Amino acid sequence: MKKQKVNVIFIALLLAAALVFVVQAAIWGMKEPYVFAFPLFRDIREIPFADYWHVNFIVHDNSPYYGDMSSYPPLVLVFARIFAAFADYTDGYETVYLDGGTGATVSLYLFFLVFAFLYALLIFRILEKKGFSLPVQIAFVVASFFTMGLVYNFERGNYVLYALLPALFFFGYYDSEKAWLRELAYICLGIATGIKLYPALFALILLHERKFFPFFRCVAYSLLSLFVPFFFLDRGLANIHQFIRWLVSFAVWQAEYGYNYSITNFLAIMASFFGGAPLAEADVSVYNVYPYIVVALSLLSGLFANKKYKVFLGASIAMILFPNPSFYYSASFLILTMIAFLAEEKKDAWDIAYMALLVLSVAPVYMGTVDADYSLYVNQFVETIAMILMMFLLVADTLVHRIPPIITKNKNCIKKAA
Amino acid sequence: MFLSRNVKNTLFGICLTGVLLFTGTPVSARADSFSPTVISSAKDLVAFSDAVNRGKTYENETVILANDVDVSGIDFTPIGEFTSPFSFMGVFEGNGHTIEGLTILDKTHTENNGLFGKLGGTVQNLTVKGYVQGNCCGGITSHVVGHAQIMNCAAFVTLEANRGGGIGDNLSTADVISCYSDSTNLGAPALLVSYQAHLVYRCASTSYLTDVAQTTLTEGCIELADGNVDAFFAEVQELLWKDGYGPFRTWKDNAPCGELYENDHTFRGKGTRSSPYLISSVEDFASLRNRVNGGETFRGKHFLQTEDLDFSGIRNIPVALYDTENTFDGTYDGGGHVMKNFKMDSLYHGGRNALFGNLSGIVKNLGMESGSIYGAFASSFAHRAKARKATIVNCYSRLDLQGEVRAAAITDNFTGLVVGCLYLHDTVDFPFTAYNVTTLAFSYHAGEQIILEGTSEFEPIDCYLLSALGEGELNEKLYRNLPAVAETSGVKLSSLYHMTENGFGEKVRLSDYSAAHYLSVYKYELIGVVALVGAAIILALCKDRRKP
Repeated sequence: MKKQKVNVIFIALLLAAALVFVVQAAIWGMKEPYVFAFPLFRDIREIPFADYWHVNFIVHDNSPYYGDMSSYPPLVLVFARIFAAFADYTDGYETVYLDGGTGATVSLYLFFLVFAFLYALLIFRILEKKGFSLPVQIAFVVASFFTMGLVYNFERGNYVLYALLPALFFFGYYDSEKAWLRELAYICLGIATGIKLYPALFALILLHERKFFPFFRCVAYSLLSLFVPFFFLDRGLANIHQFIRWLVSFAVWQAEYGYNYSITNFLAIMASFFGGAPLAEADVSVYNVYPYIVVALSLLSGLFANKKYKVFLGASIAMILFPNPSFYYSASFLILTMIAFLAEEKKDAWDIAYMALLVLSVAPVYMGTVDADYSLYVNQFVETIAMILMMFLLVADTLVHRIPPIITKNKNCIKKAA
Repeated sequence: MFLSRNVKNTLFGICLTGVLLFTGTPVSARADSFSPTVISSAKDLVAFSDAVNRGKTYENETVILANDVDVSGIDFTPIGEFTSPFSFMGVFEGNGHTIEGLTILDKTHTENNGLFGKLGGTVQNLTVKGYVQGNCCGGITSHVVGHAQIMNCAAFVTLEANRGGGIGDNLSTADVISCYSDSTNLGAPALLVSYQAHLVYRCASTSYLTDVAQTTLTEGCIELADGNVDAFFAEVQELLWKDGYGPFRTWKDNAPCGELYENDHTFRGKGTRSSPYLISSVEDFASLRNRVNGGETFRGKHFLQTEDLDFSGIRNIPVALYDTENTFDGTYDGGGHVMKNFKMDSLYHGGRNALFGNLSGIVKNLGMESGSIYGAFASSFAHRAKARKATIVNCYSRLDLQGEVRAAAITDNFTGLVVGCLYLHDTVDFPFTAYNVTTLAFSYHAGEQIILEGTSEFEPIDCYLLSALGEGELNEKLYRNLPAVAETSGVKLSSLYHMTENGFGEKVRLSDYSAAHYLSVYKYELIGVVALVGAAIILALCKDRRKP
């Protein structure tokens, strides 16, 4: 791949943001020894890797939907049983965190080490396949580990890390020359969907490239990964009833303002800042139509985009801004867009704008506190606004690049007919 | 490979280091393990008494008497003196041994003395011989605090007290179970309990048992002037096994010094869904309860009640006592049968009384037809859900419930599922459930309140007070909603029995409900099946024929 200045600048900016993050975190940690309260992380009063311990707890008795109010899809819960087997979660996950012994610690290390190894391996192979040199591969791996999505993901120990891996595999091999690799890529997208639901939107690339049969195969694999795991849980398919109940109630009552990219929360916060109801009394539900607008705009723009990375961008923005609780770790999926951006052969001014906004969307840099009580920090707004701007840019971009050729084509047809 | 070995190793090291920097989870030390105190000499016993009197309560600990101990010649200070603010709150396990030569002196007769001054915990399998002097005295204990228990003990004590009982004096909140006294006070035969007790159960004494007017409950007790103590208590051990107490030491030579009582009862069946353990008698149920209280959870096991069970003459304790780690994690299918004359009124282990103290599994198709449950907290089926998946489905109760602190018809502090249940009684002044039921659906209550107000964030689904229903409406709802009950609880419809206000009917058959009814209730399962079939069809038809 021919060396591009834009790529160099892109990676350099990501590395610079990573460096700033490391320095800020170190200074903050040294400023308040024994109490690591860096604002970019979750409330320090919660235990570290809370999502990891919590998911293991809710699955330890094989009854996550009746035994707990789980809104996770069943595949991730069945997968989590492997890690849950290392410790006794009978008395709750706080007990395991505080006194789980060697088993709990080993499981946590394995959780991160396996991910880190597979993630690095996949990135290396994909970037090599796309013609990038070793220094670029190394730089991107390091830079991507320090994007907001992955940083927050590590802090929470969220299983969405393991949705990123199959999504990456799909990204890297959906267009492979080998039929079995392509099929495996479709299966991986199905697995990613079974873990987190939203990665299904990456199938947009297949529609974009008019690969309709592969698209339907991805749909089929997604359905299998969504429903087959229910059979491995107590009460089988009856769990669907409770899963939907908790999924809906979680989405509705989860009005968390901090560390959250969702468009509904963003609008509620903005309205509150500009004279609306105070945050404690804000009714997030009045903005419930906007996620659907975002999804429609993002997906349609992505579907008709003129470059591959924009397709992934459209899907990523839809999955990040749509859900009511959409915490920082959902930005992990922007990594696919970033790799596709790097691989884009020709870049113009539009791409430079995307590049700047991408960096702003994922930079884990503390920029100031807005309201510590609600865990609102400046970077959250910068990142959310950057993603919204990317969405509008994508819409304008698609309109500019797609409509004139259609008009021109129709004019030519009319002329020919005449 | 595209990377040299050195580069790969370096990169792996970088990744590893990066991950380790993020983790840094401390390896936390294990909590200290439990170490019972063992008493094997007079010196140990005196030290133990001193420790309690200095403030060590031994709460949640067990103190074991390793052998017979002779404290002759020692002016013994009661364990947890009456005037001390501290009491023994643990379990004193006599292990079938004897403390003899007990000598407690009080010439002024102003102190309340006994082996224990004020007992707050449990004493069991112990024999005491000696001499106690004082005001209000007992061989085992003078007074109690909280819900103390004295079980399977014998007292051969010479008392010189203004008021003295072989076992104890003022045991107002204590249960005295399977005890024997052959004691004297001021030269005359001493009472088993000289003033009062909450419960005196299956005891024997050479004298009048207790000042009956002061004692709440007395049952199964006899005077044994020249009777056969060992034979009496041999029978008592078997009865107590049915009640759920013990196992205790068997009796030899008028004292509890034999081997631990064993009952080699076994269940018929294999405990599987197709061949469940069969519960056909009170003994079968007692075996289930005692094994759960002994630590078995029966996780994944199935029990099927095949007969109505009559608990006449049995004073039950809960399956899986509340303040223990024990829980029932299997499936108990009442099989459309009932429990009759079910009585539970002990304050054993805090008196949080219900059929199940802790429940993690499923109880279905069971009726509590008659009887009563009294306690600090009283409810019919379960006090607490030890796991959120605990489910009570298609059950009814007509029990008389009374709670000193609180009563609730079906469950008390139960963070599980209560679906398709019914409470019927003439006078009801308590709610259907008390706290935090995550799923309360399709249930009906004879009282005035479904949930204790302000105690749950979850709204009941389709629950009614009987006073709000018209003639015949209850039975119609019970019939019509049964498929929804099955779906909401995740229990198979074909495993449920039709239930009316008069009890259980036939088991559900597919022909009982229309196809449309099944479609509306099982829509999510149908979606799942359709999705899987659709996926299979798509995979078969939509082959990836295109080259990249």
